[in-house]
Amino acid sequence: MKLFLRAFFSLLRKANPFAMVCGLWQHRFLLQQMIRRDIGQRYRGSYMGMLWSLINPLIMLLIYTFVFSVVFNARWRPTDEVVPLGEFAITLFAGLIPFNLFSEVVNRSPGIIFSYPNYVKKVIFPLEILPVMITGTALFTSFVSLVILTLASWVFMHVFSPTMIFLPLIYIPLVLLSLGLGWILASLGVYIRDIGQAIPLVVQVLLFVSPIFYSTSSVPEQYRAIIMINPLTMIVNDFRQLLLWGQFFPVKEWLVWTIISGFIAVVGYVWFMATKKGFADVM
Amino acid sequence: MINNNVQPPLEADIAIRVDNVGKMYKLFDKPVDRLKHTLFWRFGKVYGEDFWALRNISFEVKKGEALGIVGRNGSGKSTLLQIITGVLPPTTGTVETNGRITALLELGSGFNPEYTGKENVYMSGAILGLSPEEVNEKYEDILSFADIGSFIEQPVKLYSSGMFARLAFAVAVSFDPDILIVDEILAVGDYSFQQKCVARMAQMRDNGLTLVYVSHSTDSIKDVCSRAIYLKKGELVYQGTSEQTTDLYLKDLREASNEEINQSNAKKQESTADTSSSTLKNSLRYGTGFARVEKVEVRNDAGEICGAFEFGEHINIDVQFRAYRDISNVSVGYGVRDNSGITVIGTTLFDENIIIPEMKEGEEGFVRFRLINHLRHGNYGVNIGINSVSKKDYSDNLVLDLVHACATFLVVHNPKRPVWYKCYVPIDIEYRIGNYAGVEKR
Repeated sequence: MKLFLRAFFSLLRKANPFAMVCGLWQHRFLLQQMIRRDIGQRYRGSYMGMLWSLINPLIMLLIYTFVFSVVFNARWRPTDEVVPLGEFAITLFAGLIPFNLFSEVVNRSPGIIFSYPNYVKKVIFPLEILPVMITGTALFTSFVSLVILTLASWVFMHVFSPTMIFLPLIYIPLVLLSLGLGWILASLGVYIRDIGQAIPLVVQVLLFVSPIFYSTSSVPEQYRAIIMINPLTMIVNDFRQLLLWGQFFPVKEWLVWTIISGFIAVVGYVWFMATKKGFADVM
Repeated sequence: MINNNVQPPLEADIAIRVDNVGKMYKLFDKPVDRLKHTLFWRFGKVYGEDFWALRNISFEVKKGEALGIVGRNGSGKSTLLQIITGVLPPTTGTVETNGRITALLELGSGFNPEYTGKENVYMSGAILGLSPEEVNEKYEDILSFADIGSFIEQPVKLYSSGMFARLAFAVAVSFDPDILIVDEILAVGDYSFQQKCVARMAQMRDNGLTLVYVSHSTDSIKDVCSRAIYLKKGELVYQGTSEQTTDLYLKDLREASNEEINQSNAKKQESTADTSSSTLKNSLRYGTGFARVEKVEVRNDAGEICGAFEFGEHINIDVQFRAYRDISNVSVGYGVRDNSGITVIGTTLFDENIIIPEMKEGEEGFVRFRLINHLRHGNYGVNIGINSVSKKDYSDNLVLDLVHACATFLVVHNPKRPVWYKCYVPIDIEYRIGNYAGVEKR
């Protein structure tokens, strides 16, 4: 453990956000093509192609509406008013969008190096862009879902939130956090195969520890602290506020999480760059 | 990015400097030990066992120079190339390179089989950091060199290995690398494509490209490279001109293969010592066993055991045999087979009107067939037969022993005197030039 810490701190000294950005900028053309392929690969050979990326969130939205609003008659906030039919489902879905991005990146990262063995052993390839590629693909999926959510909230709830234009700001900590963890997991996944098995479990737990199916305010006081250290909590709440409720997000909190996520991203990048030399020997 | 030792920059005319490079593979019991090792080796902890694939390799390649690397399988050639390319990190020592490297470590390994040739071309460009516009400029060039026609629009998985090779090579040479690293790839393509590649590499070399080239074909190394190094069991045993190096390499190969032959001969003798009559014990051998071939050696004129010959050199096939019964009208013959199994040349004592009237049991015999090498370049196997025969129509022929492939040798392609046919036959040629009418008048 002591050795781990020593290694970790020696890495930290080399952490440089500018080197990271420059390194990635250099590979922008490659990244562009990799993301395009990654998205294309998912639908390649299927008849409906890209339509699937629309159908998927649509069906989920319908199912949520049926289960939560019709069967459970669930309410997001305690009220006796008549709420629009889709309200719960749409609120839930607004929280799922950032969570899905996070889970897609974190779930795919541990195995991503193994899916490109040739890029490790046979050609000179900037492996560090693979987690970036995953993030790019996840961003695409998330944008499609956003469009559907906006339409749905307009149709069912007659809500159109102008504060939505600040949404890109919330994507910053979300992407940095996912990417940073993606780099670390992609590297660890090469050495420790168990990571690939463990991560889906952890993500599953996170899904229920984040305020996705409930609002933060409905969590009992004594447990709320646990929910709040989860960085996704802030992101999920901000998403709802901007997308549905037309509110602004708490800037101070956002700033703190953005800095922390930025730090995680840089550490993840440096960690990846330091360990990637050993990949070829392991695979 | 990390652990870059500060070093004086390379001199302007050096393209690659390999300094004391070693590659050790750790053989680990558990994969976790490997991670611990990657992180903590600098703190002096030891995990796993060591295996050195390369050791103490140092050499330099000047800009515009072509360096060949020869060595047997497992000698570390590919590992060395991977280290120069930067795909593998060296365990000890450093590699410095100057300029953009393109590596053909394995044909088309950067290609995704699901995508079309065209998509893969753009992808390969992107891996090198080129924008789609920059790839556009080279695209026509690549197409015309690869010469695979409309297949460029088909998924790469449908390509024949030859088409694959064409496209991969075309892509690699078209993006203007400063240093090109080529690992034994031309074997896939057909002959004309190989020639095209070799010519292209030579042309690029003349335009200032630095080339590192691994091949088992010592001829193409001689064609392309001015200098060569010889790796043996992970160590650099020789560096010199490509002729000197390939000669040494071939000599080593010969000695090694002769050793193998001698060992297998020894085994054959052991196995025959206890059986008096020859059954089909060894599928490559048959006959009554009244006489047996004991030893076959291929030598050059200096009397050394030799495995490779050039055009015009003498090949001596020495046969030792022994009679296991009293036999008469003994004839010994040899045949040389090419690798397609056709016996190209051969003769027997009987056909040459040499007759050994009789041999007593236990008597030994020796025959030397000395021939001038007029064979096409390639690998050849020697068959030796012992018969008892006295009639020219072979009606009373009795095969005493016939051994297939009891020795092998290689005929080296000599660019100065190529043989493009199975076998050359000495010939007299008359020719005239000029007005045909003039000939008639004479």
